[in-house]
Amino acid sequence: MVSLLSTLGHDLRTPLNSIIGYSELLQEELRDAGHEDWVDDLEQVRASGRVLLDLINRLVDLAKVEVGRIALAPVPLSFAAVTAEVAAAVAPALAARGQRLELWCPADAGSAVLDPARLAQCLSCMVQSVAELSGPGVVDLRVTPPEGSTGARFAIQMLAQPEGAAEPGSIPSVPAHPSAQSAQNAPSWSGARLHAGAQVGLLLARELCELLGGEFQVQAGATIVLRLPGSPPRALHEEGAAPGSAVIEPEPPPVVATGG
Amino acid sequence: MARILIVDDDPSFGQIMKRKLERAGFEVTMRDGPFGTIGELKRGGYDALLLDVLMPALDGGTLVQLIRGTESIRAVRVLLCSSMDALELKGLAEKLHVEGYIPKSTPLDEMVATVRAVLNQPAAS
Repeated sequence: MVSLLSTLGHDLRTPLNSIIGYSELLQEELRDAGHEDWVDDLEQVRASGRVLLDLINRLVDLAKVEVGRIALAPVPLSFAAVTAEVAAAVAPALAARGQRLELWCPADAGSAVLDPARLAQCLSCMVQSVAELSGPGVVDLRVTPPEGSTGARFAIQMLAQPEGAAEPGSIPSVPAHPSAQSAQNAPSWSGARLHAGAQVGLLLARELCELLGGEFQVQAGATIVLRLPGSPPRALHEEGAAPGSAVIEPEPPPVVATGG
Repeated sequence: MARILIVDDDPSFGQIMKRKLERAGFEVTMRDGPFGTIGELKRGGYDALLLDVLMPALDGGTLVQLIRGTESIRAVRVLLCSSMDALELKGLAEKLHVEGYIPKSTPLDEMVATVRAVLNQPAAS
């Protein structure tokens, strides 16, 4: 089943990547040729392709979680390092929507033995979904150690809303089981049709959070809270990782990657 | 000028990468399938290989092993390039000990930056 989903994801992304790639390439070439008026049209094609690609990626990942076959590779990590990585990764998409991420995260926000890639994916989905449900403004992400226990509490909230947009407190409930969610009873965003990609993103964030052993809650004030289990700092050092290391690098020479 | 070989059985995306890399100043040759890659690498004096992964006839992983087992071309820098899940691609790149990987959904400017970064690394011994 997982192999089928991986193949399906690959085959859906292949033509879409060509559409997006050609759009980017033609934008560049037309800009050089002085045809600026066509560049904006191609941006519509490129941006729509990106939206569809994000939706496909989220749906495929959600399906993989649903069949219980997401592989986890837990390593010692620092919550601050992973959060900083996510903040940097989502910044361009937020800026394109007139949004900005305000991150409140102390360097000693805690440590854990978790899969850094899945944690980053979970946080990224959460931030981007909240942003997609909102207009221009500030997305506030606060990371704090929960009182009386190890781990970390991530609270995300849209602080500023544009005139006429949804009021705080209207983040939709996330259904217990995505498969039970029909189109007819989909949660609403202040009565408006919920952005499908954001809905899938919230579902995926919640599923990944629970897969990592955490709790996912939608709270009053348009706030989403994640609580993730941690480990004492001593355990992190005992396993040989330096504070702040979030990703295990392969043996040298390192693999160089893009952020796609 | 660095020389790059692209091997991709999707000619559409292969052409995108070829044109983008040529605009960035690289000398690029493209092959639309895996067969003949070893011979082309032996003849061409390439600095890097951009290699698609999921090709029905001969997959990229097997091709990497063939390249690493061929003395005269084993040091060529290899970047895996695929539409497969980005995390799976990263894992495969680490498993095969290649020098880099590029999800095909990556913006083209970032692709070029990754190729440059790999070319700035010393070649594998």
